[in-house]
Amino acid sequence: MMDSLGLLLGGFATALQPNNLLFALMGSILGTLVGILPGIGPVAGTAVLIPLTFSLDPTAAIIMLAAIYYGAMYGGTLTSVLVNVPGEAASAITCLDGYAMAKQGRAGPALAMAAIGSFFAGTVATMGLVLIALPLTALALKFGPPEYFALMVLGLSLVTGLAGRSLVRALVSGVAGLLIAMVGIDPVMGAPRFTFGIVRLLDGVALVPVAMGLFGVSEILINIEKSGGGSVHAKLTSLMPSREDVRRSVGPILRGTGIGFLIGLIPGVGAVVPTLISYVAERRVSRTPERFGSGMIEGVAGPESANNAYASAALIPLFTLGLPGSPTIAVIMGAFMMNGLVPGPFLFVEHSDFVWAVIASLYVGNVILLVLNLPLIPLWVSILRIPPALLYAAILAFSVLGAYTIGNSVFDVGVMLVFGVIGYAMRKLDFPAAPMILTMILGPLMERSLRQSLDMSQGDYTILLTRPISATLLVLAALFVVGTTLGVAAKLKGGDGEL
Amino acid sequence: MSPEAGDAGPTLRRPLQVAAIVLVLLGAFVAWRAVELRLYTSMGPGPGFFPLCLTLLLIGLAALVLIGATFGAPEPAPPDFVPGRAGALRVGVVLAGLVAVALLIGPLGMRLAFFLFLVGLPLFLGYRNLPAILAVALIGSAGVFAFFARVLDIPLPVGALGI
Repeated sequence: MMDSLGLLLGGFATALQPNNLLFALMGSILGTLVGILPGIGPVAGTAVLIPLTFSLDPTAAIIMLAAIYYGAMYGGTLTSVLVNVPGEAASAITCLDGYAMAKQGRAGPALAMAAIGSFFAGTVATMGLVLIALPLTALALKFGPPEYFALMVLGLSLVTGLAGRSLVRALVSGVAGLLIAMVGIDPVMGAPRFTFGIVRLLDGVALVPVAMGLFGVSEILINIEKSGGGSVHAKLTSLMPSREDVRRSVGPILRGTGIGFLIGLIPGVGAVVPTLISYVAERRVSRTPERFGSGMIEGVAGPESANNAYASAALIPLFTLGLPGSPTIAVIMGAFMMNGLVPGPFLFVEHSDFVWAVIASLYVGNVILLVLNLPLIPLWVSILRIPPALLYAAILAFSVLGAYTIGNSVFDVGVMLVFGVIGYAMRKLDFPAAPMILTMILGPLMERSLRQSLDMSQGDYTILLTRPISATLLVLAALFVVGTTLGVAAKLKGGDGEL
Repeated sequence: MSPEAGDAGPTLRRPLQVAAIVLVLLGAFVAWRAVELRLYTSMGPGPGFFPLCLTLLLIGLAALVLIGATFGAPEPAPPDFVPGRAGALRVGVVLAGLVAVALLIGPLGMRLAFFLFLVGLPLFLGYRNLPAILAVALIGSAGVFAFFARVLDIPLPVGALGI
């Protein structure tokens, strides 16, 4: 451990050089700007900005990319809170309470606690990366297809925790998301499913246009229907969090950090799982769970911390095993290789200076984002003062652009519009949209894991129960579902809930 | 699809019944397509297995919604559930505008299509500050085009007019 700390200090010496600091600053700003554009989340934002780093030396290039990565994540948070358009799937959770806070005139505290929570989580996760990467990676190596399946089942069971007053409607939304995810090529046998001869559907239904439609477009349609060009946000009441906001956020930030960090060690899980688990966990421990979705700061602080802790922890499998933990990490891995560096255990041995400089720059990037964005919160929040007619036009235009640039095709724009209409109808009938997005991501992973598990066991389902980690996760999932169902039954008996 | 008027005002009974029936029909269609795929192999579930299970689950859940809406206590509809004529018109026009933008990006190019949309929509919604509208329209069309082309190096459609 002392060796690691010494190497880390050496990394800081490199990361804090003026030119590297400048690249980190530029990356943070550019990443935030790109992340703000609806539909262009961290993955796309990081990918499109890679060419900017071609002329830099490898250390500077990766430092800048890491800063872009964090910046784009915060940009996605901005759009989730301010205009209810998630920059990526994981930000959809932040929409639930973040946007509700913005409508109450409390966008400032939401953004501030998101930034502070993200900073804390990123710091802790970076320290974790330094101290315990190797031993924890050994545990992550024990995750095979059965364990991934069980983890996805646990993730899906947590969807029930997102049900508002109606569990059945949440389940309908969730099952619909699973079905939408079935469109495309079967993950094991390669057979096309539900493509109806449309070539574009062979790649499946892209998640980002669906999320933009369900959350962003539908929200704007509802607002336009109600008030045309009138204001729908409450007068801004505060820009910075109160003492009460900070007090209420401490627990969620700590819990979210732990959740995000632990799950980030497992490659391929995705950022949605830790943010979802964090949100549901906060609802569980809250004394007023029924108020989630109406502007609870815990619903922002926890998931945002989980997201950022996950983002840092997901670098651990990359550095130690050469496995990208998320799509964005995969893009960064590509950047590594473009710069002649192969992520994996030998990276620490052959390019130790580089690795520790990058790790140090992760922390520096976190600091830069906090220093940059906290004072800029009044600027970000001032977006809400733009006349709604102009704001809606700009958001819709950027959403069309974001959807178009996914595949340079109007097909994804069409998907976004279709789901905008579906989302509009779902809002009218009180069917929650979040479960649909979440199951779209988790479903294919679950199906693939199950079928791989059955391949391993020659069709024997008991493999899921005979392996201790998967059995434990499945039991947890069952307990959660039973607990939620009993809670709903009690509500129905008390007259406070619907089917 | 108007909510029924109950003793205490409109309810969601009829809309939920319609939604549930639509879901049942959709589920039945997807189930029919799923059984055409291979359901099971010697090594476990085939491509059609999960979709079939999910559609059966969806049909069951939709049936629960239908039963709840039909026999349960009527759920009051929110006051603005049925849009007024003006509201419905606004929504329809916005959707039509978005479809038009999507279809015109290719022929007209991104800049012109977006400029027209960013001018037209605020005017339609009743906003009349022309300088602000034009500023946003120029930034949102030409400005964004330049940012994508020069900074991000992402080409966007130029269109037949070369604009």
